[in-house]
Amino acid sequence: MSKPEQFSNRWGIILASLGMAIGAGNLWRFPRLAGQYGGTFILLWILFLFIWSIPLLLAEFSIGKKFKNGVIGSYAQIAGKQYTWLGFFITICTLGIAFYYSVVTSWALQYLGFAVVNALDPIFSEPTLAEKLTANPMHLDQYWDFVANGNWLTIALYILVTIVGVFMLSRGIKRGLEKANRILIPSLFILLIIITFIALNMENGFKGLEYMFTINWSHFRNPTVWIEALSQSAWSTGAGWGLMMTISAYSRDNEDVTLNTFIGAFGNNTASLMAGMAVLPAVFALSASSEEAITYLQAGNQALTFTVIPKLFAYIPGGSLLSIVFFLALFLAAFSSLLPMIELFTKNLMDLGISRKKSAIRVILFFIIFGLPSAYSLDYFSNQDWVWGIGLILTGLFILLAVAKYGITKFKTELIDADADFKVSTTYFRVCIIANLIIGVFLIYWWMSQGYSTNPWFDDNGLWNVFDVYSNASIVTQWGLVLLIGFLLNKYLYDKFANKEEL
Amino acid sequence: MSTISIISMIVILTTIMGGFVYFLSIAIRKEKEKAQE
Repeated sequence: MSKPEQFSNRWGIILASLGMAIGAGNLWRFPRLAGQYGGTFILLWILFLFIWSIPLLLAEFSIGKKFKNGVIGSYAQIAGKQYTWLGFFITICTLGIAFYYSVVTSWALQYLGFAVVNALDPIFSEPTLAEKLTANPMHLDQYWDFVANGNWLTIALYILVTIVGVFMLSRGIKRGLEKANRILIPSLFILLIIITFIALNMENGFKGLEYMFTINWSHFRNPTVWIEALSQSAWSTGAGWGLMMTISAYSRDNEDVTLNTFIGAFGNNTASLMAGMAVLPAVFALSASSEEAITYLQAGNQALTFTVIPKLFAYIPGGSLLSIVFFLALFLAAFSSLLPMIELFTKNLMDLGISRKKSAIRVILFFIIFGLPSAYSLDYFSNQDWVWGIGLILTGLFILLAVAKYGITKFKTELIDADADFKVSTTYFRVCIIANLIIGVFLIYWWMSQGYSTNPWFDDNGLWNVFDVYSNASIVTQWGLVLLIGFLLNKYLYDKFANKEEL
Repeated sequence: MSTISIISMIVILTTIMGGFVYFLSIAIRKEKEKAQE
């Protein structure tokens, strides 16, 4: 029997966890929220790092390290045979995100190309981006609409990034994921330092910092700030996605859990702060007024990244270069997060006895088929982001339930503390697991009650409003289908993914 | 920037970035100790 794959050392798994966590959300969601709600949001975001993200990441890391299977198999082994279907849901939820996340990666790549072309335009006596915007103020909005809807280049690029990602991973953990992260993560941090340095040296750039770090005490009474801080921590660190469980399945047998988790979590938040310190000073320095800057920040993730930032950079000397650096950083961040998502799928296929090389073609086909609608339609993309984004809170809850079922203290002592270079308090872990079970349920209720759809359950004709982008009916239908399929296939899933020795 | 913003910035950056560097330094030390054993 061949030796199981594993990272060559501690740094391999730390880089993988950083690559998993640091993604597009650090560059496009965190700066937006930090600018809107300032230091109050950041303090709460740090609080929820300790309450929600770190305990969940500790749990995932320990489960992956212990059972060394893909998410379905590992979850079934920790939670018990009859709960295999919950592991199936975690897998499908993260894959639901992975399919459209490959499209986000392709957007970043397309805008990197766009930034390069804009930088080269003056050399070929073509109008600059600033001149194009003067002639047509809607130029960037039109370009974004062109990229996000029915664009064959977007489709070609998302297929390309998927193939490149799968090819890298087909080389194995050491020669693929570990090697890629050794280049991706340091490069990403260097690019973030460069943008931060340039942005902070802009005139009025400090205003952005002031907005970012000022604590407005009245914001503590605003529930939205609390929810956004918790959601950002949950989504950004990758806690509850099953990704850490997948990565740690390749950990060495005596790998430390706690210290590595803390490094990954704090590293992710460091990258977010750097992104905030890069984007916010630029937005505030280049906007006509603070009010205009705030309006830009409220435009939403995609609008801020793909229409506002290129516009702001278009009017400053060296802005075209800054634009290239920004989109290169966005691409590297998105790509480094896409790799573990692909690996999550690959690892589950390998649990079925399919070799890594043979899994590759299946993974590519699945990504092409299921990612295509998101690449073609922004509405479909938004629906998947809505359904599976909130689904991640549910997957977090499932992992918490598995820990609770195993026994929180037993889990902490046997799985987390074994081989630990330092230990956290068992009381802290126990309180967080129990509190998060309540917080998670509330969070799902809160997001679904926000009224993003005018008809969250039934349309004007009284029909189940399943095809509305932001409807609750769409969430319940898609979750329900996956849970039902998983439940019906529970025995089959357990036998195939968890009980392999007896086959 | 106001004094309170500067203090807030220092506290936040020290907690997160300082924490990152601190945990990294522990890991480096632990790896060195393991290599020497």
